[in-house]
Amino acid sequence: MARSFSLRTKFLLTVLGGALIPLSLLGVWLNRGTERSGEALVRTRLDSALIQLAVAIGSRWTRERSVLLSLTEDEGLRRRLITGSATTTGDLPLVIAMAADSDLRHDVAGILIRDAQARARWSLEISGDTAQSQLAPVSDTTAFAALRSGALPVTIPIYESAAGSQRIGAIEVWLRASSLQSVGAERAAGVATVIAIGDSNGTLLTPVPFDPASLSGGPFGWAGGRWLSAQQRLEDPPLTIAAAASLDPFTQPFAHAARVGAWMLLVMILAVLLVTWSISGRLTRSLQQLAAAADAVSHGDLDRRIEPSSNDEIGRAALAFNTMTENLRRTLRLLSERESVAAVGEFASILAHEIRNPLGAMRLRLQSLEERLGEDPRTRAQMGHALSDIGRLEATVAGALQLSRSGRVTLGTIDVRGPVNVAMQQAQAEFDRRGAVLDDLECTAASTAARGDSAALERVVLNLLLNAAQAMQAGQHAGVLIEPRNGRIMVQVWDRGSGIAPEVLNRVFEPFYSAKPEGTGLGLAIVKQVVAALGGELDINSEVGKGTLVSISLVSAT
Amino acid sequence: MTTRLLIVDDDRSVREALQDALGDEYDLRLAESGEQALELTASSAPDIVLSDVRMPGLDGLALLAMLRARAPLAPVIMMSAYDDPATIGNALRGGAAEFLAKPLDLRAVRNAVTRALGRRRSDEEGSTRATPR
Repeated sequence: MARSFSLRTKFLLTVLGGALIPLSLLGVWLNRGTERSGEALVRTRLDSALIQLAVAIGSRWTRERSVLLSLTEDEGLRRRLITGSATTTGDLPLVIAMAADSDLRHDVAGILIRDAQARARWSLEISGDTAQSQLAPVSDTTAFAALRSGALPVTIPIYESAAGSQRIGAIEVWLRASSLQSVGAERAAGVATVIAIGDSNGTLLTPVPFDPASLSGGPFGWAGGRWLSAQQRLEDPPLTIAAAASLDPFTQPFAHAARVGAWMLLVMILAVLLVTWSISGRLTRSLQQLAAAADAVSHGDLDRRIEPSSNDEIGRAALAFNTMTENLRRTLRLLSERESVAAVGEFASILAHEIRNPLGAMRLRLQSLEERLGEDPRTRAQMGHALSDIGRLEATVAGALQLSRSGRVTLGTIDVRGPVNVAMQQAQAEFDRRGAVLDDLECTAASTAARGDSAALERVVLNLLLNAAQAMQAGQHAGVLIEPRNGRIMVQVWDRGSGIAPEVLNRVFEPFYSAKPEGTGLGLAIVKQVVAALGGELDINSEVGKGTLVSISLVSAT
Repeated sequence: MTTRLLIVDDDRSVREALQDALGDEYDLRLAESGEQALELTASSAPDIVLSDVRMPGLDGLALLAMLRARAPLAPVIMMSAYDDPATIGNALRGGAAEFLAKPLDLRAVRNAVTRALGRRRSDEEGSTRATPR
């Protein structure tokens, strides 16, 4: 069975999937980007420092080599190399012209002169504080070999003459890697924290605090930090310069910014989630109320209402739900009432039949007897009373039948003035008989279209007007006013007659209640029933001695 | 010659009350159902028929239709405790001479019978004049 998520969960998942996850990925990408920016900056600076270092070492070597080249031009040396003798009479000793402050003293560990057969002939060991510059014949090269440690060789060939091409020997110069390193240290200050010098093969000759292989170029880790290395090769002298710098000082500001950004992003995500949670809670709460109310209605609870909490679509849906439920309730009530009206009508009809048959038989017999009575006035009077009682009973039955049928109306759009005018014309004779005045119809409504049933409304107004006439003396006025009020149409029947006492007024709509000796007590009950069937409302106000006002409120059809 | 009046009603009290009230004036026949009314009509055609509307079996309206076909000159006065417009309309459209609402009033019954008798006589006279000798 597929799992069904709640609307709120779906909403949150949508926000997470649609906004927060892409936002998080963007944050990670920016974080990585800042790190790469720091690394690129270090790489650029490291390359720049290595180029400066290479230029400095190269130019320094150029000066030193010019000194050594003067030795290759020495004719005594050439002769000795050609003859193969260590010394020749009259020859001057082999001397290198080194100034006291010459860099040569620091940079060169020793010089070895080899003949054409590559045999070591003369050598000179140089230390920073010695002023010795005379080469000595090589007797034992073992001691000299010790100098080679930490130094790299540079060979300068010696030819038989300045213009000659025959090589008769070579000067082997051993450069101190540590001395060259110190040159670099000055040049690369501020960028590279580790400088190393290696031979042309890249083998490092100066010590480094980490694995020498790490200096082959590229990032590496050491002492808990991230480092970057770079290399630069020189042709003359043939050597490799390597440098390394810690990435942290350059990437840390970026990393810090990225961390701050990540935290802010996290806070933002939490805030968005919180806001989303809160908003979705409100939304889903309203929808849950709506769903619960719909469930309740589907189970028959038509009294359930929803209080709209906002004016948005959900608020409108709640209002529409309430309206729909109200309409449903009204429709069901009307259906129920119509069924009840029909049932009551049927029952009343049967009851009337059962009463009217024996009542008719009784009247026929009494009337037949009355015709045969003598002239005794008392007997005739009693017979008259009996027949009058039968007449009253029949009037009651007829009224009850009319009451039972009064709920049967055919609703449609009517012009209220039509039935009111007809009722006024029919009532006119009763007013004339009493000498009372029925004023002309007064209408202040622009539209008198209402929902109703012309015949039913006519009966109602006629009934009210006849009641009014019965309460009037000669010369008193009555009338009907049609006016609009709160979107409905009011039909007001008024009279300046005797009015109704408060204790009577409270009961005038009760069936079979009448304050008049000849009344059935059904007239106003029928009026009330008919007005209710028309979907209208009935109100009565009266004051003894001043008159009565009956207001019928009908549903406007415009 | 006494007028023959056929009274049809399933309510015995109504039949007897009418008999007591009108028995001295008319030659009365009483029927308690539509079917019985038809039998009586077949043996002796009435001058006027006074019939209830709602009866078990053959009701007053069906009886009216059959009487109008069998004895068109005999006016039929319909009477009923159901005096709603539909019942009255159906009776008059069906050819009833009059409609009397129950409870019956003796004067109203007499007047209706008198009017019906007058109509029958005028119908008979018209019918006689129209028939060539």
